[in-house]
Order: sequence, then C-alpha cells, then structure tokens
Amino acid sequence: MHWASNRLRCLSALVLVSVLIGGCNFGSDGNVGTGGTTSGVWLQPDRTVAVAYRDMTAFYRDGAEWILAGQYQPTDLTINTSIKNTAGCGTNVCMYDSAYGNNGLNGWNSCNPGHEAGSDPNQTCSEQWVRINQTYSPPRGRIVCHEFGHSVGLRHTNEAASCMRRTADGGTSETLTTHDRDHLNGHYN
Amino acid sequence: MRKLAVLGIGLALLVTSCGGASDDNASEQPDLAMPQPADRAAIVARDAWSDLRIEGDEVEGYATFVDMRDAADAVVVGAFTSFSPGRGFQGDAAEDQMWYINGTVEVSEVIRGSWIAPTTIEVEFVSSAPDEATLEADLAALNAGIGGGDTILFLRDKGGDEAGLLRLVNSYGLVTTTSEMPVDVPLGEVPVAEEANGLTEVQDPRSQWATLDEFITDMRS
Repeated sequence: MHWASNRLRCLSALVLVSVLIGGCNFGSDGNVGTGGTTSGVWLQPDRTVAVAYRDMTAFYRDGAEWILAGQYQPTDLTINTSIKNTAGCGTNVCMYDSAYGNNGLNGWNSCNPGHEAGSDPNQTCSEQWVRINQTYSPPRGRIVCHEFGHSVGLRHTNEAASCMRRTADGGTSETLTTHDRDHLNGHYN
Repeated sequence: MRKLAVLGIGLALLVTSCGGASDDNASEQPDLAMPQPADRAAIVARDAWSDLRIEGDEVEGYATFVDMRDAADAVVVGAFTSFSPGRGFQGDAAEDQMWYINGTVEVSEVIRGSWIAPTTIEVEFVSSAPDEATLEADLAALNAGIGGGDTILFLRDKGGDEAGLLRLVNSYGLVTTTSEMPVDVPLGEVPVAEEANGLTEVQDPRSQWATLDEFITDMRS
C-alpha cells in the first residue's frame, strides 16, 4: 500500500512537472478548408521519413542536411534524404527555397490535399511541402529545424531553447529540446 | 485521499495541456456575451476563414495590439466584399507554384495611414492551394462564406518591388466577429492551454474586449 502511494505521488509530481515545464506542443492542427486545402501541422504516417530537396540552393540544402542529421536523426525517427531534380514531390517531405516575396512568412509547411488520413490531433499527411522564404534570408539551421518540426507533428512552443518557438516571439534556437524529442520518441517508436 | 486529489489535479492539467487543437479552443473560450440576433446576419463562421490561415514562422511579432497598430503602415475598418485570384508565383521546382488570394475590402474608416483612401482596397493573402483547381474551390468557399461583417485590419505595404501591395502585419492582423467569439482573430493560432505559445504574447482579444466596437474604439485612441 505504501509502495502504491509513493508511486501515485511520483506520478502526480511527474505529470505536474511536465505540464509546468513544457506543456504539450505535439499533434496535428491542420485546417481543412472546403476546397480540401490544409496548412499547419501534421504527423508522419510512420517513423521512417523520406525527405527530398527540390531544386534547393546549396546553402539551405546543406543546412537541412546538418539539422536533420544532428537534431532529428538521433530521435526515433529515421530520416532518409535525397536530392530530387525531376518534377513532382511524391515523397513524405519536399523542401523548397525561393524568394516568395514579402508575405510575412520566413517559412511554412503545407499538406498536399488528398494525402491526409485520420483526424486532429492525430491526422497524418504523407506528402508535405516545406517552404523556406529567401526574401527574408532566415537563418538556415533554425528555419529547417522549425518547419521540419511541423511536418513531423511539433507545434509552436514557448521554450526559448526550442527551434519551435516562433521567430515573431523572439525564437532564435536551431535545436530541439528534450521536451520536443520526448514528444517525437513517444509517438514514433 | 489527499494524494488522490493531487493525482486528479495532475491528470486534469495533463488533459487540458495535451488535448487536440479544437478541444483547447473550446475549453478556452471566455464567457463573453455573444452579439444579439439582429447582428448575426453579418457574422461569419470561424471555419469560413480557414482557407486563409497559414501557420508559418511569421516575421513580425508584437506584444500588444497598440504596438501592432503603431508599427502598421495602415489600420482600417471595413468589410470584405469579395475574394479573387491574385498573383501567381513559380518557384525553382516545377511543382512549387504559389498563388495569392486578393481580398477586396470596402473601407469605412481609416484609423492609421492617411495615404489610404477610405474607399476600396485589396489585401493579399498567401494561398496554400497547390494547384489552380484547389485555388478556385477555396475562392468559391471564401466568397460563399465571408462578406458583410465589420473587420479591423492591420496592414503592411510590402514595399520594394511589391510597393503598393498590402498584406496583414501578421496572422493577428485581422480582428472581427465570428460565430464563435464577439472579438476574434480567425487567422491567428489558437493558444494552447497551459502553454504560452506564440501569439499569446499578443493580448488575446477574445478575453480583453467584449465587443468589436470596444476594440475599435481602443485602437482609435
């Protein structure tokens, strides 16, 4: 009985601490419009994620390689990257970088309609497009870490050490936190 | 008994914190008086705005709406009358096509930015449609769902090669009344409970003002 009480106490403390420290920044929040268009955060259907660099500049492509290898590969996700120079995406995540203009966005993630399954907060999308807006020259490690995070289910957070904190809120990090990794490992195992 | 109560509180917090986005939204709505039925004709369903929502990493962030107003190139009150296809953009990859949606706004008042005539303006929104067929469907949905409701817009002149073209300052730059809230930011990210994520650093208009008129009055002063 005493043992059980201690376990209960520990569980309660863990739950409270986890909530107070990090909250929950995981789960899809894709908005499905009447036209089927979605934009936001989705999960991957499985732990193995194929990433294609589509006509990217060497600068952002190198940044993506560095971030995916250093931040996401060490999690329970398995990331397979490739350079794709033929038309069409056709894979889990396609990354693009262009000067999209002064649209207020350093980068964004979207789901190609027709590739969704399930419902929020567990909706998956098997073909997602990450766009990096060269108009604002966002720091490459940070923008890749942030937008790729959305494509595997991470939402925005208030943790200063996390790349999932929005730039507009002062976010500068280019790394995942233990909290972010725990979310990924908890889901993709 | 006390330990069980602690566990209960912990689990309740966890459920609140980790629920889905829509659940969080429902649980966070402050108890504000909804507009009277006579006003509802002009009220737009929150979902009708979803095709204009892009949850990206935004460039501009402000701590308060007053800060946002003071930094904006223009702040106007008006109503959307129509949505139409805007500029197209072709990225380096063949399938990397992007379109803008132009929202036409009948301006009734200019709060800031005297260079804007109080007539009709167009505001550019990024569309996440991957092809023209989807864009057309989104436009049809927007035109069917939105129109007539008073809206306050915080605007940025894009400048440079895009001078004269207007966008919202950020996703909190469109404040209106929706079917869910008397004062709402339908393009903004819904704050996640127990997590001061992103835009919660801007005053949440859903809990600060009881009516859109009150909000507009504050922005005038």
